[in-house]
Amino acid sequence: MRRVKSISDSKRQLITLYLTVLGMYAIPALFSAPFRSVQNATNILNQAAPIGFVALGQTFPILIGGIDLSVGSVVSLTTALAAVYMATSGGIFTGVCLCLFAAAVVGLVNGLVINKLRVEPLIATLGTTGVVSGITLAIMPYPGGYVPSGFTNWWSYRVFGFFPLAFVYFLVGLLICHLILNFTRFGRRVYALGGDEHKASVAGIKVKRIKMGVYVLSSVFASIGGLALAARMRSGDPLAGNPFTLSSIAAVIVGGTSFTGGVGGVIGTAAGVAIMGLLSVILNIYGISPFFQNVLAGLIVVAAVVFNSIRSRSILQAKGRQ
Amino acid sequence: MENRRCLLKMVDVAKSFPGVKALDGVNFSLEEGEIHALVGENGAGKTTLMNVLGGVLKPDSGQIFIEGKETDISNPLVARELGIAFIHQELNLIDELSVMENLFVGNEPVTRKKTIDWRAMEQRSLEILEKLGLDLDPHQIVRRLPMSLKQMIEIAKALVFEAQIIVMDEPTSSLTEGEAEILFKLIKNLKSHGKGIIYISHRMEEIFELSDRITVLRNGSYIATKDTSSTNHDELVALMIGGDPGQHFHKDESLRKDVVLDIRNLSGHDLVKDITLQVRAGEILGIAGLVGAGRTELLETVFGIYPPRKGEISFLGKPFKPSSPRASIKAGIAYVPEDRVAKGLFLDFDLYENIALVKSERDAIYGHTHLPKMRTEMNPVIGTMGIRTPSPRQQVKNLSGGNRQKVILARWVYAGMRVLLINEPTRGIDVGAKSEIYQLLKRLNREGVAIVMVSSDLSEIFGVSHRIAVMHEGRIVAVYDADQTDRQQVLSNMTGLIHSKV
Repeated sequence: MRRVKSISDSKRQLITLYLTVLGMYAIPALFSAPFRSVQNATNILNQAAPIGFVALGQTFPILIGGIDLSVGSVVSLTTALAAVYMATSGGIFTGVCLCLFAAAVVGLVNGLVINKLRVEPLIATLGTTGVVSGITLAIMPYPGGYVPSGFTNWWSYRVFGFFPLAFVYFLVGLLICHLILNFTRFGRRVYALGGDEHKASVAGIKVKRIKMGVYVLSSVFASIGGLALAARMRSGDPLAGNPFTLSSIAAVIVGGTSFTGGVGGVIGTAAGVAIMGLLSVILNIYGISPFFQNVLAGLIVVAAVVFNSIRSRSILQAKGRQ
Repeated sequence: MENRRCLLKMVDVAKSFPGVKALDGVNFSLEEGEIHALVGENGAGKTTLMNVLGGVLKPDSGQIFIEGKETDISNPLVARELGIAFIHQELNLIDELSVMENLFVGNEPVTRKKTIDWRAMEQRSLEILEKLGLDLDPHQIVRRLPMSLKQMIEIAKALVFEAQIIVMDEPTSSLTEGEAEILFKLIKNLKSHGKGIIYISHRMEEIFELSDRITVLRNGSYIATKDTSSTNHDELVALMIGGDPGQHFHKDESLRKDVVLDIRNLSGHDLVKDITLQVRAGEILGIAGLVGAGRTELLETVFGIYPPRKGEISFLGKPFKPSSPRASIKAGIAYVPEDRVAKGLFLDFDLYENIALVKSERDAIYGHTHLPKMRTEMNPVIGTMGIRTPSPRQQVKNLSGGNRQKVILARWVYAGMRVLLINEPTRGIDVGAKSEIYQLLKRLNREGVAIVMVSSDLSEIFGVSHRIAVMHEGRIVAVYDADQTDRQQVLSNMTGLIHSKV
């Protein structure tokens, strides 16, 4: 009995989020015939996959109270590498491995700069963004290249004729992340670190090792998102990943993971992705410029931060009164 | 004592820091099922001794025996493996996690497949909580729990890795009386389970209620170990302060003049309750009290950091409301916080900029200040304050602690003030600079400044102040003329044993 009561806080938040998702789908569907078409549902799911993966990865650094600004550049790099190497060097498998390996290196560099040079994650990952973007443009200055259909078929196949395989992959990724966070020592220590880094280290947790893992994971998931994007575009684009950084942060925050760390999870992030995706489709239907979606993502992030700081200020004041 | 197992024996432990003998031939022992109190004034060496036990500091000499075996505690992890647990004043719980996750953080139980064994975690948490008599849901998030329960969870953590020796450093400092009662029950419970407990506290009544034996340290030296049943409060205080007469400063009574600051029934912050105090021009009023007695909060209320709720303040004969630090500065009240670096100085700025700060902020005309003119004005101030620096253009981060303190004082001297509120004026400052700071305070007295000084160092309180006010749990419990009281009386008031109003 008591148990139910004590977890309900985070559960209630998740229920609210998923009801919001449901409402954002059901209400426009009532009024708009094109919106409720199967084709539209397929499109929404298909578009959700790339940003979904990136947001899953982004959840980890935000959970430890950090952030990864380099995910967008990793997405671009991945599309470029995929488009250049898969067709020319022939191997789809080598291409995928190359993309994931490159992303892991980026994550490793992020982790090293944060751990060894003690640079704030915000600045460290901003720095790598510059480096990675430059390298990407050197590999592929203009959008182009070609992603072989042998690869794209693996993503675009529709289960039962409408359910994109890309989204199935996303669900698998979601499950894996959820299991990592809740059923491994690494995952639980991510939460401990987000709660209080110093206290976590006092408890004997190897803080730096966890951080390293977190940034590598975030980068690798960004790269999987990049592969999903490349499969959808069937080509590479050195700038395609740019909007992903902000949208992934927005999705994570909307999904209830706190910027201060220690609270949240990937189930919430998935809802955040759905909400952001539905929002853009709704805006499209009403003919609002897709650029306005960036404005919206920006506003949501700022609003979330403001909301968070108001809340923590009121917690502080409550402490002062005690 | 009967033939109980000896858990810990520390023999002839010594530890020096540059210029200080922090520990000198200290002996300490602990048996199973014993509560052994460790007492002494601030700086007596209690914390140093516990840091040696915890593997944080390496002793210069001496031996440590754990359950009869000589042991080298080289780092905190070794201490933990040996079954030594520390419960610090500052808790190490992670607010966002549940009770059971806090118990097992860094040591999570896993199944054979290396996944977290939630069921085992819950089961063992329940066992431990039950052992401690705590009716707590292991899934509860820690954030909203009251302080006392958090403290108990911290103790429960010690049981998770089956600690035999539990060190508690001022565990009641942030608890209310009722909460402390519950904690005592739990400590006695641990004792009955055979744990050895080292209990550090300033509060005499707790020590007499709980402990079996008491060891007294003074200035890093081992003084005595007494059976609690065969000693009393007065003997203990005498052992703690020793025959130490304290340093004597020449106090000039003739400087004391009219009341400048008259505080009546001031309340505000929860640690500022019904304060009535008068401060005269040309005197130093020392405020003594334990950590958490409300001394800093009182100063900061008068300076306008915490809003006053009730009571009146009259300043220079006129009613004064400390609505903000800015208002207080305008009126002529200065505040030097304890943490000078964090709250006072801009380390990357030079002396000029640091000293000019208050005055230029206060006197600027339409935001304009005449810096060259101010620099020439500041040069004599820097000289008279005796700040040792190659140049006034030096960045403050290159100065020593004593000189930094002088820079802060210079700032207020330059701006002009009538009342100086100063918090721990010599903490972290070496002996030579200390006496210079005292000289500066005296000089300010001569210029008619009224000084309110908070200090945890009783020698300083007695040495410098004309009058001494003692705070306990947010109230002023006594005010004495410095030459009509002694350390014992003040210490008893600080620890709340006597509630004599004067």
